[in-house]
Amino acid sequence: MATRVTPCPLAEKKMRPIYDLLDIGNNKKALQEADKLLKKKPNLSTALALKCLALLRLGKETESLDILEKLKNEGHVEESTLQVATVCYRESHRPHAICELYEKASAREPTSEDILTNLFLSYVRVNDFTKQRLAAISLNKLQPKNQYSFWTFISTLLQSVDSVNDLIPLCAIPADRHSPANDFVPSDKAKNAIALVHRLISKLANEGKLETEQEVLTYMLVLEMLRKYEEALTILDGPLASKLEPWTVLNKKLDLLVKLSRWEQVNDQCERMLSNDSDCWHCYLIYIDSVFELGNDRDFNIENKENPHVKAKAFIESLISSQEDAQFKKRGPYLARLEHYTQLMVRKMPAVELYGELLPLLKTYYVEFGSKETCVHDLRKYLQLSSEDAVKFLSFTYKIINLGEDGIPTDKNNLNLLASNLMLCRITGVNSVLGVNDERKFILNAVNKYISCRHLCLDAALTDPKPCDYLALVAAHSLFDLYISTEDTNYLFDGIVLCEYVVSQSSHDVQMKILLLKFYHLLGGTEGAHMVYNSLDLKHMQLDTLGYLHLFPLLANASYDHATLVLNSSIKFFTNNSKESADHVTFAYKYEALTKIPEFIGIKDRMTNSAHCLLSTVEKMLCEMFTAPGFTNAIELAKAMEITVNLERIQWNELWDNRDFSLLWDIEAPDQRLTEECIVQSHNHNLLLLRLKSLHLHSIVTALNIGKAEPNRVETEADQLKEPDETNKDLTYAKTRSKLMDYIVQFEEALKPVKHNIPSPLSKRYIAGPPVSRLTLMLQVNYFDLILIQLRFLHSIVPCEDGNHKKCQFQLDSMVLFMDEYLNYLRTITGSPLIQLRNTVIQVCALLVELICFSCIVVGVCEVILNKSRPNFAKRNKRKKENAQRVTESPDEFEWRVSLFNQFVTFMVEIVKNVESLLKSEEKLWDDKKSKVCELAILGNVENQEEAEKLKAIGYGSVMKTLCHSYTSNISLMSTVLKEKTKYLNSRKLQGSERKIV
Amino acid sequence: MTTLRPFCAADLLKINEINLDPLTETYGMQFYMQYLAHWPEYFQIAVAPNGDLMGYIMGKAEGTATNWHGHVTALTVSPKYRRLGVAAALMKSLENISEKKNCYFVDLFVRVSNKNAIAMYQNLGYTNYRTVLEYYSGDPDEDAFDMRKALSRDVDHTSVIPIEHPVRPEEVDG
Repeated sequence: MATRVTPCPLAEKKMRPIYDLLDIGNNKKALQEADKLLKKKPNLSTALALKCLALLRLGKETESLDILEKLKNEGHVEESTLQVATVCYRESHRPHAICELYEKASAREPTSEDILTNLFLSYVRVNDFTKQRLAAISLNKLQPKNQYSFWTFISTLLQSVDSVNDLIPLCAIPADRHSPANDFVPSDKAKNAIALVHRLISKLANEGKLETEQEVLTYMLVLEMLRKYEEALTILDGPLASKLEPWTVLNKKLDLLVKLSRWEQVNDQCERMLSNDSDCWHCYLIYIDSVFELGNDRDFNIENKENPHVKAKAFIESLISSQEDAQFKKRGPYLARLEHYTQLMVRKMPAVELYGELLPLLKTYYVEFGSKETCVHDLRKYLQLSSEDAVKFLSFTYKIINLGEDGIPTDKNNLNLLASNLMLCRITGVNSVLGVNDERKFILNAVNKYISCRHLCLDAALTDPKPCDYLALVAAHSLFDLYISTEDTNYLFDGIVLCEYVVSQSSHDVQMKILLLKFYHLLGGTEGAHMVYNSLDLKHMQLDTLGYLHLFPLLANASYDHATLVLNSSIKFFTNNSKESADHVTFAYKYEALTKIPEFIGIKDRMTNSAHCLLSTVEKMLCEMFTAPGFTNAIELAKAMEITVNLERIQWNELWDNRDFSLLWDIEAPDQRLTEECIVQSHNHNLLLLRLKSLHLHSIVTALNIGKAEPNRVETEADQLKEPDETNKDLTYAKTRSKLMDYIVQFEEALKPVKHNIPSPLSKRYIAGPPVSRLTLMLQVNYFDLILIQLRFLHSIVPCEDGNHKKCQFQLDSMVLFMDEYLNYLRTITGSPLIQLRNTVIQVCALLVELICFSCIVVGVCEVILNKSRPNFAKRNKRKKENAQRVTESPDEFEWRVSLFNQFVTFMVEIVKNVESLLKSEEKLWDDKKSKVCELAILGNVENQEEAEKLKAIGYGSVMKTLCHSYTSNISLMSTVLKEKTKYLNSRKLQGSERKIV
Repeated sequence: MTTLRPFCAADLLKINEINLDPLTETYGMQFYMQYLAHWPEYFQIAVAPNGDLMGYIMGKAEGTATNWHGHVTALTVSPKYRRLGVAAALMKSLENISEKKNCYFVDLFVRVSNKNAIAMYQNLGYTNYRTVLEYYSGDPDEDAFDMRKALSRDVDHTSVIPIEHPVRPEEVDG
C-alpha cells in the first residue's frame, strides 16, 4: 500500500492538488499537474519531488531516481521537499539514500533540529549505530534534552554488543532465567563505552532529571550490563522506583537477587509475592530454585521443620488450603506442588517421603481442574507414571465423570471431563500400546460419543469452542496415528471426512481446520486444502509463520493456480514489511520505548532474514521463469530478478526459521510429540533447498544474459580500457559464459555433500510437524543433476574458443540416459489404484514439468545464440561494429552445434509427449467411479445410523469429489503447461548454415 | 496460573493459535508495533507454565481532561486457556496501569452479539455507556457497546453515566 503523503503545512497551495491526486492514486494526473507547475516555477523543489513520487508510482523508477539524485545532491533543506523525497526512497527501498539526503541538508543547515532529527532517524533505519550516536550527540548539543541524551545512550549500547540479540533478553521482564544473556560480558572497549553511559545517566539521576519509566529501565539495563547489581538494587529501593510499575520493581528486584545469589532474600520475596498472587508461575519457579539452593542436602530430614523443602511444602500447601472456600480456585499452588515434587524426583531426593505418592497429588489437581481445557496441557509434564499408575490414574479420571445410563455425560462439565480423559489416554502413552483393533474401537467410541454429546452444546455461540468437538479432535488425532502405524491411507480419508463433518457443524473450529488442511495435503487433495486455507483467512505475519502448511504441498502437487495466489499474497506482505519494518524501529525512538528498541531491531532482522520469505521469493521467481512464454519474456523477468534476489546478499548464517509449529493442540503420546530435532532438520532441508534453488535461478538469469550478449564479439583491448560500465561489462559474452561456469561449479559444490550424504527424510510421524520437504524426492529423481547437465550442455553448445563437439555430445547423451531413467521410474508407479502412489506420480511429474520448462529456457538461449553466430559472411561484412574482433565460426563448428541443438529439441519434444500421455492415463483412472481409491475405515460403523449415512455421504460424495477434482485439475494444469512447451519447442528447430531459419 | 509479562515483538510470530479465534482480529505489523512503541506497558501477554502463550491485552491511554482514560484495544484468550480467569487478570493489569496514570476510567468496545464477553466485562464492573452503530464492519456491519468502568480518580463515577442515544463511529473520539 502506498504511504499517504501529508502535505506540509508550509507547502504552497498550488501543490495541494498534486498531494491529493497522489493520495487517491491518480499518479498520471499528479505527474501532469507537477509538470505544469514546474513549467511555471522550475525551481520549486517540492514539486519536483512530487513529480518523482508520481513517476515512481507509475513504474518509471529509473527516471524518478535520476531526478531524485539531482535533487539530493543539491542539498535542499525545505521540509516538504525532504519529506516527499524520503517517501520516494522508502518506496523504492533505498534507505541509505535517505541518509545521504539528510546529510546534505544538515551540512547546509547544521542548526536545524528537525533536519538533524531526521538524519538521526535515517541512520536508525539502516542500523548504523555509530552514525546515529553522533547525530544524537549533535542534537543534544543543539537542544539539550533527555530524549536526545537517551538516544545517544541507547545508540552506544547497541554499538557495544556483538548482536542486538544479546540485548533483547537483558531488557526482558521478568528475566529469562536460562537465557545465555545472563552470561553477557562486554568487551573491554565496550565496557568503557557502557561505563561512560553509566556515568552520564547517574549524573542525570543525581540531578533528579530522570523522568520516565523507560529512562529508569535504561539505567537498570546499563547497570546490568556492567554487572552492578548492588547499585541497581539500591536504585530500586530509592525514589526512582516510583517511576516504575510496582510489578516491574518486584520482578526486577527478584532478578537481581537471583543474580547476586541471595537465596534467602529470593525465597522471602517469592513467598511475599505468591501470598499476594498465588497464580504467578514464574515466581514459583524461582521460589523452587531458591529452595534447592538453600537446601541441597540429598537426604534431608522431613521432620525438620526448618528444612527449606519442608518449609516450601508447608508454604505451598498453605496456599492451597487458603483458597478452599474460593469460588474460582487458582491452579498455581496445585501445579507448584507437582513441580516441586518432580524436581525432587529428578534429583533423587525424598519426594515420596515429603509429599507421599504422586498419584494422589495428580488426583487432587484433577478433581479441581479436570474439566478445564488446560488440564491435559498442565499435567503432561508431571505424568511421570509407571504404566500401572497411568492406568490407575486414567481409570480414576474416567470414574469421576458423571455418565447417564446410556454412558453419555449428563452435562457440559462431565463432557469436559470425558474430553480430558480421552486426551489423557493419548498423552500418557497408554493408547500407543493399543493394537490396531483397540485403537479403532477407541476412535469409534470417541466419534459415537461426539455424536451423542452434541446436544449438550447446542447453546454455544457459533464463535465459541464446543466441548463436544474435543471428542472428535481426539478421534482425528488418533486416526492420524493409525495411518502412521499401518500406512493405510483410508485412515486419512476417515480423518478428512470426520473433520469435514465437524466443521460443517462448527464452522469456526480452527483445530479441525488445521487437521483438515494437513490431511488433504497428505492425500494430494490440494483443492480441499485450498478451501480450508481460505477459510482460515491467514494474513500479515501469519503468512510467514504458517504459510509453510500450504505453500510447499501446493508446489509439490503442481497446483500452480493456488500456489501463485499464496505466493503473491506472501511476497506482497514480505515486500511491504521489509520497507516498513525500519520505520517501526523509528517509532520506538520517537515514543521513547527505549528498552523495546533492541527487540524492534530483532524482529525486523528476523522477518527480513526469514527462510520462508526467501524460499517463497525464489519459488515465485522460478515459477514465473518456468511459465515465461519465450526468451524475450524471460529476459524481462531476469532483469527484475537480478535486483530482487542476490545470492551474495543472503546471510546464510542468519536465516531464521519463523515457522510456528504450536498451532495444533499437543495431545500426542510422548514419542509422537514433535521434536526440536525434527524442526531443525526440516529447517536445514529448507536452507539446502534454498541454496540449490537460488543457484538454479541465478544460473538461469546468467544463461539468459548469455543470450543477450553478442557471441561474435570477444573482448578487445579497447573494451578493457573502457570505464567499468556495468551494463557493458555484464553483456560481454565470454565473461557471462564464464560466470555461468562459476555458477555451475558452485551448484556442483553445493550438491556434492548432499550426494555423499543424502539428508535423511523427515519423519512423518509427527502430526504437528512440517510437511515433507520436496528435497528428498528431488534427490531421488536426480532433479538437480538434470539441471546441471543441461547447464553444462548449454555452456558447451554455445560458440566458444574451447568448443568441443565430443564433450557436448556426451552431455546430451547423459541427459538422455538420466531422462530415460526418470521416465522408467515414472512408468513403474503409474496406473496404481492406490492414492498414495497416484500422489507420488503427480509429484514426480510436477518435477519433470519443471525440468521441461527449464529445458525450454535452455533451448531459447541456444537458439538465440546460434542464430546470432550463424556464419553468414555476406551479412557479417555489413555489420557496423568495426572495432570488434570476431570469433570466426567455421561452418563445421556451426553444423555440429545446430545438429546437437536439434537433437536436444527433438528429444525434449519426445519427453513431453511421453509425460503428456502418462498424465492422460493417470487422469483416466479417476473416471472409473467404481474403483474406490479411498474407503471409510471406521466412520461407516458409527452407532447412529442416520449420522453414519451422513458421514458416508460426505465421504463418498463431496470429499471423494474434491480429491478427484484436485488430481484432475493439477493434471490439467500440467498438461496446459506441456502443451505450451511443445508448441514452443516445435518452432525452435534450426537449419544448417547456408539456409534460412525456419 | 499465569505469568503476565510485557508483550515482546517476537511474540507476534507465536500468537497464531490465539489469533485464529474467529473474534480476534489479526492486524498488520505496523498496528502492533505502534502500540508496542507508544504504550509498551499496556501490551501484556499471559504465559502458561508449559510456555504456551495463553492470551494478551493491548491498550492505550488517551483523551484530555476528564476524558483521560485507559482503552482496551484488544483482549483475547486462546480456547485452550479459557475459564481460568486469564482475561480478568489481563484486565486487572490494564486497570492498574490506568490507575497509576491517573486515568478517570477504562473503556472498551465489544460486539453486541458477544454475550460471553459482555457478561465477563459486567462481572468485572463494566457497564454499558453507549451503543456505537455499525462499529464493526462485516456482512452485515455490527454495533458495538462502549463499556466503561470508573477508576478511583472519578470519585462520583460521572464518566460512566450512560448516554441513551446511540452514536456513529465517527462521533467516538479515540
